[in-house]
Amino acid sequence: MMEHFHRPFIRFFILKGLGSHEADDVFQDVIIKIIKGIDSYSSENKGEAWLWQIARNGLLDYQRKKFRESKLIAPVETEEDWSRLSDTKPVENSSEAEESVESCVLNGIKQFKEKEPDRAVAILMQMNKKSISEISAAIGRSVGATKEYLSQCRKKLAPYLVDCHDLMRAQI
Amino acid sequence: MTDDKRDDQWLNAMAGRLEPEVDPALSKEAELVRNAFLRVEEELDSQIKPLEPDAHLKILERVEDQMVREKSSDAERNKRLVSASNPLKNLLARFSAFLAVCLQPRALGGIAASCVLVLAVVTGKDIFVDDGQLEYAESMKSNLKTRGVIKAVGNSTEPIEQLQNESGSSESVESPIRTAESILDRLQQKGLINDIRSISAQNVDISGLMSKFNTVKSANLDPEGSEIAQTSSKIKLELHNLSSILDYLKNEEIPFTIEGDTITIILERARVPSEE
Repeated sequence: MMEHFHRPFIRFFILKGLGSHEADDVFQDVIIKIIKGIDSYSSENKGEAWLWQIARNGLLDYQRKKFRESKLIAPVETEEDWSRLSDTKPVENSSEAEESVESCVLNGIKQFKEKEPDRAVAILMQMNKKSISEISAAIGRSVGATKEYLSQCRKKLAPYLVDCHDLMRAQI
Repeated sequence: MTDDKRDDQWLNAMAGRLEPEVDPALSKEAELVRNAFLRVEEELDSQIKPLEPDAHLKILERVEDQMVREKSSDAERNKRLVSASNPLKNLLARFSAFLAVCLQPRALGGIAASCVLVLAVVTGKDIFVDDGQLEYAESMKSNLKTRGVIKAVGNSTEPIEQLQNESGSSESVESPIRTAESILDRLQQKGLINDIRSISAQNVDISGLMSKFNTVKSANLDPEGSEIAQTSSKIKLELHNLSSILDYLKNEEIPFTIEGDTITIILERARVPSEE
């Protein structure tokens, strides 16, 4: 189980703003929670979705702890607040004139994943053919809301690809 | 075509399911975005260190440590055990007290090694158990913590080399002899040494112990054990009186298993500091 979930969970944690060492620590904590909570597992937990839910909860626990330790006193009310608190990396400059359409799109996607990590998680999981229930557990939404969330991803992504439209058209 | 339909087609294309009637512009966009996400995924993967071969053992140790902490405090349990009159209760109390010392933060002083302490009671004959005792023993076998401990210790017929291969080097202990001496010292101090009919240890040179404890009648040494005293933490103590032991263990919720003529009582997992 550890081997199977190691890469997907760590990817998830890094996408959500953790450094690789932090992600390793959270991964260990999550595995421990899974082992200790195995008695509460039932078929109603929908298999891997249950594990993704624990991974997400483990991440939130870590972020809360990190927040308390950071001595920030601003109240954190929403998921978006937590996302803002996570480390962000400098956005690469996408305005270089002589870039290819591939690098333009890549830059846009990198900015998108920084600003919308949950959507990036959802898209990557969709690309890796994860079920809707697994994606919903990872991003903390209901199955119905997740379907809607996924269907909006293209629109949410569009502003990040505006600079690439001319390059894209030239390729068609 | 509606936006919703295009969004669905785009999502399908992202998942590698390209529909035949998809607009080429949409298809191209999805392809570019998909490739970019694959690059992002590669970059993420490049930050991921491979899982260490003994990662599952480290996790298991942490689980066990947490479970031990979550149990009722050792001190409280010692009080209960010491107050009891059963010699085995006293024996276990001494072990617990010893383990409490083992578990002190001094383990942080060096690279802490793992030491699994078990007490194997060899009856020399088949063990008859009632349904409740059997059920409890079986449940212990399926208990994660107990299973982990049993795996780490191995059984008396398992070559120690095999154990090391399975578990990497993390299960080696620096000082099993010191550990054993400490245990036997305590037993002697408390006048419990006479309860021991024989001592056997696997791959542990206990000749020093044997000369120290001349009341012990026999020792079962592995012929190759004298030079690899760092590899075992299993000591067998053969006791005279087994009456009520199983009921006592069950009632006190002390894990034990029964294999052949041996009751293995799993006391605790301890950390033994290395000396630097």
